Amino acid sequence: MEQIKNFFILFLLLSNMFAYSQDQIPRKGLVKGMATISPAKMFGYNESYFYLHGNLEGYLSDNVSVSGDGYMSLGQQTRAPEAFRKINNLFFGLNYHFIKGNGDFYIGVQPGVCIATLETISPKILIAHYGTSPVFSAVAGYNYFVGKYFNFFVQTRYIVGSHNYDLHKSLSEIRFSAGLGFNINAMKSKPKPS
Amino acid sequence: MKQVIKIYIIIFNLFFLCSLSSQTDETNTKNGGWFSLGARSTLSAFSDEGAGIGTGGQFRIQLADQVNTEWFADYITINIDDKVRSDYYHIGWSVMFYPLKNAKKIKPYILAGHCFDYNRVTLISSPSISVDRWGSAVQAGLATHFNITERFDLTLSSQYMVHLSTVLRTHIEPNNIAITEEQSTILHGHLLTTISLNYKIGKLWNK
Repeated sequence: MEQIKNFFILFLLLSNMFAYSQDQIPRKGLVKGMATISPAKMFGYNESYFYLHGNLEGYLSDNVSVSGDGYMSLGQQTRAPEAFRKINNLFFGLNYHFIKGNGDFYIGVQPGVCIATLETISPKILIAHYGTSPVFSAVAGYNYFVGKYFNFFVQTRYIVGSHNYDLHKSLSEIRFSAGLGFNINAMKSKPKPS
Repeated sequence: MKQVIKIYIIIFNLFFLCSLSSQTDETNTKNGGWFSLGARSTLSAFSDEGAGIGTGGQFRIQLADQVNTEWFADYITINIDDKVRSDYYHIGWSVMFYPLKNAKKIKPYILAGHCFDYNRVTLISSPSISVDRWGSAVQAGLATHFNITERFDLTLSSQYMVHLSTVLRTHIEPNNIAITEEQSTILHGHLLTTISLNYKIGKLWNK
């Protein structure tokens, strides 16, 4: 416990040091990416899945970024008979960022598709087919940029849609992602007016 | 067929009026040339099949200050009583007319256009039972941009899409499901409410 405390204090000190010693990192031209494990909870069913979540994002201006996200199903924590065997998603959309120093709170809207198939445990489903369904997602998150190349992030995503292959099932779900991301500025910052 | 011709005449007259009003002032082309790219989510409602959700994308090419064009593709799926899935694929274009010249943050507009559509109706429990048709449609409605920055906008639009081809109808009875292809009525279609996010990438002309 003492080690965790020391690590946390060291992390905060380093973060502040980086924050005040460099130019603003989240700005036009920033390219960032990450990969993490993302747990989720479905609405309307007692089903929880977890995913490998990957993201690539580019800042078109200081406040707007274009983002592409992919989720690959890794398994489920529950065992419902009419559960999904695989749920994979692709999302593409734009985020609006509220930047203060190296902190970056953002909200976004990302339409996408879901490629899913059901389990064949239930007698209702003898053969399960993969099906592609359109989905809508709203995203909110926070990035904290630590130096030129790293950031810590948390993100939550609300998904709406329905799977209509072999059996009708809602795809409404909330997903959580957190971890360490990588970033690089692809454009030089403009010199500040003296 | 006469109905189709009437609808086309109305739409092209609307476009003609839009283009006339946009050519009355020499300075009204300063915003012409903008190329935007965006993603969209669509809610389909008020059809005899029920409500559905869709996803897609679009690009825009602005022709003048008050005239813009949108080129879109989307995929909408509708669940009919948990038994039948109706998939729509649209690819088309719309002309957008901004009646308020000096609107900045909130910019309302009228839009109308045409699209090609493909509809496939499939039994959820027996996917091998499926009927499809190719067709054409026209759409018109009202919308507004919420300009969050100079280049970034959130757009909310609501337009009614009228199918000009045959229609696939689903008849669900307790022990039987039938899918039939029937002639379209004059206003058969669906109300499409779309939320989209768009970014102006750059100018193609008037740089």
